[in-house]
Amino acid sequence: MQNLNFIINSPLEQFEVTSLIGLNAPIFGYLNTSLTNLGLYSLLLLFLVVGLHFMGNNETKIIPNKWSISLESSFASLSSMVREQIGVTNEIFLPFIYSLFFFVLIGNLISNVPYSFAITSSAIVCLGLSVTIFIGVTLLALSIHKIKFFSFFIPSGTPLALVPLLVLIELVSYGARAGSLGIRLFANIVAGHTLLKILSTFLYKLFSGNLVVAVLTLIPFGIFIGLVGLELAVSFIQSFVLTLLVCSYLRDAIKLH
Amino acid sequence: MHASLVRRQLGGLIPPKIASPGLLSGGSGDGLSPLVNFYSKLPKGPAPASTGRGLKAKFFSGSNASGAPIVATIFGIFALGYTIDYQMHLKHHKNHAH
Amino acid sequence: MGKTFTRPGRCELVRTFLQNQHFEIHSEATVCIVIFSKMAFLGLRKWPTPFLKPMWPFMAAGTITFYLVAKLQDAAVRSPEFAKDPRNPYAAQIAKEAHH
Repeated sequence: MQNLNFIINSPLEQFEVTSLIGLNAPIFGYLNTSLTNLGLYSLLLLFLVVGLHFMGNNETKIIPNKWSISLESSFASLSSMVREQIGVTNEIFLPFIYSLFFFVLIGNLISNVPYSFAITSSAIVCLGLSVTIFIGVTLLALSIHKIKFFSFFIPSGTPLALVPLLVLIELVSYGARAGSLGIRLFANIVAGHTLLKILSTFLYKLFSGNLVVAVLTLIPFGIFIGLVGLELAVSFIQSFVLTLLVCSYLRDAIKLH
Repeated sequence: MHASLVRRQLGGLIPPKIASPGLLSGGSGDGLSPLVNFYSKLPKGPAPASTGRGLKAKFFSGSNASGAPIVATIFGIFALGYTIDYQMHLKHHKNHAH
Repeated sequence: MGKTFTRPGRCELVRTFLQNQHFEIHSEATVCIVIFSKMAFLGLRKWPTPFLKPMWPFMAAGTITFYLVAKLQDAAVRSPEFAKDPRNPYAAQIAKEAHH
């Protein structure tokens, strides 16, 4: 009979956060911490990002090799994005934007390896990140503009009668930034990975059939490979979009229009 | 604003101002001898290859740049994920599906 | 040196008073690991990049978010649906509180 080792119960099982090493102690008020697979993959992500920059810097030679070209080009594109969006005087935010981009990018890319775990498939990670960014940007705007920050919610040139309604609408749309930034990333990654899991399970069953079916399955398998490529592209695009939007929110906070 | 940024970044890039076209076209002055003196004192030839420690020198430095570490990383993540999956799920489903 | 962290940036060429130095132009690949400023000297140079000035709103926001999520988690763990679940790691603590 076939070897049915790899059939999982539900395509959502891949997103379970399980505790790998736990610590339950009746101290500090019932301390309960553990290293979960989410934590493990976050540490792996940190190790990979630091390692990439430590290994790929080509020891500061003038003539670049492939590693330093890739690092320099990614730096240049992020630097130009920051300069375009926030302006040259606000380049002080470049390390933040750069780290954010690499965090999401490498996190998404790690998840594309089979049997791996996606950090950004956890709603707490995505929403925590986006709420943190939202509150941070609001605090920044309040500290720069103080009470005039609230002029952001009145678009210029609105008739006075419409102002109350418009302020409400603008407030809601501003608050929606907190959620939308995280949910966009979360939904894209979860949906993509769930689809891949479902299709791969089905393809596995087809491949385990008789010889004719197995040969015919090569066609859907080609489509599946295309979808894996799409998932890779989504990893890049989502990290880029998140970074671009954070730059745009920073510009709104600093320039107020 | 942008011009001063460029000037600040490139200002230290160019060697100290020892020669200028005025020295050549003008009749008086030092000529090119300060320039020749400056460049004669600099080390000649290619810079000595400063290799890092083993892993970096083997795969990342200079002309050794290869994509092998990326492939190794992918296989490493695969192995890590499969190990976790095996301990959690696959060990218990060895000869029977759900 | 204040708040600095590792960032190999563009560096000036050697001046004449440093004989026999080699030209080094660092590539502008920045390594900003925000929480790891103490790991600065991995053999890389420390640059005086400001850290607190751009990041203070986000650090404050991070603590606010952490506090909110902790409150949310406490409420969810103590909710009647999960309070008595045997897999709940806080089951013993909740049972104790219920008795008081």
